[in-house]
Amino acid sequence: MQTITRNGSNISTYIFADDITITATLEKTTCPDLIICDLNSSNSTIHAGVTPPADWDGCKYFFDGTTWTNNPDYVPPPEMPSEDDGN
Amino acid sequence: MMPNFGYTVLGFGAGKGDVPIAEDLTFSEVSDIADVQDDIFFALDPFNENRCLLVYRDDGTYGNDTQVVCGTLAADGNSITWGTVVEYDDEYGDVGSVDFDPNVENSFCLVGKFRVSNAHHHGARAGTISGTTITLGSTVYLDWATASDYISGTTGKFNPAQAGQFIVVDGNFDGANGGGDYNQGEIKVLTISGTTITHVSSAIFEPISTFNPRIEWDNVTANKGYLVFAGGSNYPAVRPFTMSGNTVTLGTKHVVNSSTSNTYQMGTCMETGGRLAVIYKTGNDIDVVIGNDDSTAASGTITWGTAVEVANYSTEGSHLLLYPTVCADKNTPNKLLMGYNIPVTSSSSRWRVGTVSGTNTISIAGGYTHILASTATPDINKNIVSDPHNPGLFYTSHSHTGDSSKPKIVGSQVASFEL
Repeated sequence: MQTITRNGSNISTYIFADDITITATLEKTTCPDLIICDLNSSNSTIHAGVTPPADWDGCKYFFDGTTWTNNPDYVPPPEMPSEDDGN
Repeated sequence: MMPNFGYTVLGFGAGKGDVPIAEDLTFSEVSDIADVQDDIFFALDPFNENRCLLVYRDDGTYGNDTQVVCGTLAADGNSITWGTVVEYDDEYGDVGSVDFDPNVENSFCLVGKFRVSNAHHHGARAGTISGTTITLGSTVYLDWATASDYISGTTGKFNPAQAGQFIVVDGNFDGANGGGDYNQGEIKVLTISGTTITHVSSAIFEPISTFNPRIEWDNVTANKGYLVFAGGSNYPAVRPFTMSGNTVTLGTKHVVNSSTSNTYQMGTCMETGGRLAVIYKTGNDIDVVIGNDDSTAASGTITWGTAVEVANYSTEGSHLLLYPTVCADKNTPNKLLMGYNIPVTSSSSRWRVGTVSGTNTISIAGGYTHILASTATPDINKNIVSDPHNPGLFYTSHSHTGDSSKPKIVGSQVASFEL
């Protein structure tokens, strides 16, 4: 797998399969079906050959290039939105 | 006596002392219908000035049914004469949105979450208006997911480039109590003739759990639109699309912010010059960002500006910030009104104005105001409507408890937006 981490915080923001081509420029990061507008070659790092935790979710873990650790500030998505959350 | 900062001051932030807003915003408040609980949406008739539609779920007096009513705003904006309320679903449901067809006079469509024997469905009903009398067609269910899936948002808009074409977007969150087969964002193409809806085609725009989908049409390129939603990891995202007849072509998904995973509340609008505004929660704060897409194709690339903070959790008294919304003035170039909700009695609906410039830059006037005169706890606003007939005039719809659960329809005149 591959992951993109935000420089400084090392928060893991995305994971991709190994065969996905990820291109980071000074302006943005591009994958075949996705443009990440707030991450670029100066504020993020692409790590290849990683094994993310089974319950990985965006911003749930830090990854320093070697070790995955929990992000204590992670807020999970609602298990079941209230009747009023959807609109 | 109001303090004088060199401009009119109408709002004061609780616990923060005087908070001037650098735009001279005035407002009037209308509260004529009772028994409104939540999910209140408002629309203005593009053909008939001062005619409006209100959809809402009642407060349980009649069983949490969903209702629609047509009204006429008084010329001074201080009262609304309502027609007969029409119940359009008799089980507990959620309103999604209501929209007038900008090409067909007296035609509208409403969408929402319906229940049938306690199973979730999303659907649509078309209607026509004569005076303030509403005639509704039959409910058309638009389910793609199984009925037991949890639908986390349904909304829709008429395509201004094709008379009678109505596009519905919905998010499907297969939650803990779901059990269905699909987690996805879906787009549905409907054609409407009179009160008859035909469901023509469907497509998936996000293949995983999707929250809070929105649709906005390009003001420059006909038949081009933008889907705004919280997709994977709840990141706020935009996916452009085009319509060729009733066929949808989807462009590439853009994630506009991936710094936190809890940003599923958001809003969007297209300002007159064709630049897209996306407002969203990021952590506990609220930001807005402007995107510019010069391409006429769905595959065109959006150029995004720098996100600007609209509301900060700490400086707002560490109160939860809810339901950010944004609306462009239909008549005044480059001008936006942004709102959000906060659980502070008498100051729960806060508003700021912004100006878009250059390719994708937004500047926000200092300070905020709240626009409800009455004590209201809580006020939940989920939409802002620009008056197509009056520059600088916006309407919002709020629900709140107390005062017989009367909704608050608030007209806000931003004088500096007037041409």
